[in-house]
Amino acid sequence: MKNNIHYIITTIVIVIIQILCNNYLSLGLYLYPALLPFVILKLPFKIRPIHSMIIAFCLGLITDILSNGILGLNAASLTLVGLLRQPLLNNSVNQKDIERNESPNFKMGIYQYISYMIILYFVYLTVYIGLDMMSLSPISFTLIKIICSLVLNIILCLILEILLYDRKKINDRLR
Amino acid sequence: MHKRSNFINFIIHFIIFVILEGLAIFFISKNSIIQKYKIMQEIRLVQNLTCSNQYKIKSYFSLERTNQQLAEENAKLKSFLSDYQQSLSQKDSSYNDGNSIENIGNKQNDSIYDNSNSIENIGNKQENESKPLFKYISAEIIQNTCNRAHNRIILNKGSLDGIKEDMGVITDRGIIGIVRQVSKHFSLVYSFLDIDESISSIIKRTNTFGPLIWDGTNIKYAIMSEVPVHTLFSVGDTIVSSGYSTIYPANIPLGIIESSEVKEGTQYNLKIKLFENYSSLKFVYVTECRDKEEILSLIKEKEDNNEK
Repeated sequence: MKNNIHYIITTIVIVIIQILCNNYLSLGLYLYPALLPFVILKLPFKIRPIHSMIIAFCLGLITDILSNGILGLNAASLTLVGLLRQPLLNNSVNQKDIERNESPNFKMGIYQYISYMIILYFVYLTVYIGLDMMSLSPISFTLIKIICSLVLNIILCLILEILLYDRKKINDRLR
Repeated sequence: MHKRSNFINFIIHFIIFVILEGLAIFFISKNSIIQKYKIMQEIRLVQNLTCSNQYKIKSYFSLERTNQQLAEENAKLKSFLSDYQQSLSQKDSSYNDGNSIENIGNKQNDSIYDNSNSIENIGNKQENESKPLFKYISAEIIQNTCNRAHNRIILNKGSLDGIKEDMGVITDRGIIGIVRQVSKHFSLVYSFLDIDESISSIIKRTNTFGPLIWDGTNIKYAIMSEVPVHTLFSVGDTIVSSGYSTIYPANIPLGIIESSEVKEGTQYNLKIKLFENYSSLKFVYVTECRDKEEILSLIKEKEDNNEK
């Protein structure tokens, strides 16, 4: 219960930050700060793909409506993230964690967790940038934009993870 | 049994995914021809409401800068006004002189002539002769993006202020975009910083025509394409709007040539350094061509004749 409330509050704060970033923060053409996928990445293991897709779609749509951008862009990109997270987690999580209603974290293995983040963020950014430009050409520009944004967002996610989710446990794990 | 349920799950997930993704893509596609659909207007209304509230807070903190810009703008307008008054008085005096010389002898008897040259009629005549082709409405930007492939701007004026769809948006240092959707109090502008938009431009020195497009890589630069290889130009030449449309007036300075590149052996692609800084825009002018309907109906008539 406590975990759920913590998750909901975190989600609301992240959505607000994302809207403010979309409306006021401009880091140039090559960097797009995206915190919304982090919310979907952190959904508990138990959440089924149908629910994660609906949550992703709604969060994306709310952000699109309140931001100054193309309506549906975040919704389309996040829905795909919602669909893919479960198959990716199935390969790297044991049954006990799923039953304990935990969220993906460093416990599943630092490398597994970071690669889980990288894959889903790569999918999200590719779809987002592709739909925004309505093509992937010029391919060099698009690739640089995806890679730069990916690096930025992974760093942001790791900072958020450390700040928001059990710093102590992570420290123990790293020792 | 387990395999079958997995398969059914997969189908259900896939269908839900297709529905949600289809819905999102429907929104995206409708967003590009947004003005035709009421549902989008309602959504924009919500956006505008949030934007205008954010704008109020933001504008409070930038009052000093705004005042400075307004003072500069006022000074410029005053100088224009004094020039205009001066030229008007010169015209008046020359016109009156002409009348007196021309009509010595018959002025007293010619009542029709006198009537047609009354002050009111002179005013009308001048108004008809020097009526500018474009009308300008000033507006303030309350939302602006520069970091996307399709950038959008929201202005604080709408249909109640005389803004209509397909009007141009300019400043004295460049073309900003085109109005695509209008609500009562706000209007949505498709920025020039959109990879799908282009402007008809000319090299001022040689009058060579070519479309100016933004390639989506840097907001300070644009590309002028389709310039024939025999064209004479040099780095630093000014690019201005051509005026070959009913959207933007002619001779708006756009930028200077920074470099050139021969494309396919037959034409140049010129890299243009833009005058306008799109990331710090605040005040703009919305332009309306007074004779737009007449010009468009003429084109339509011509097309109809060709079809026949």
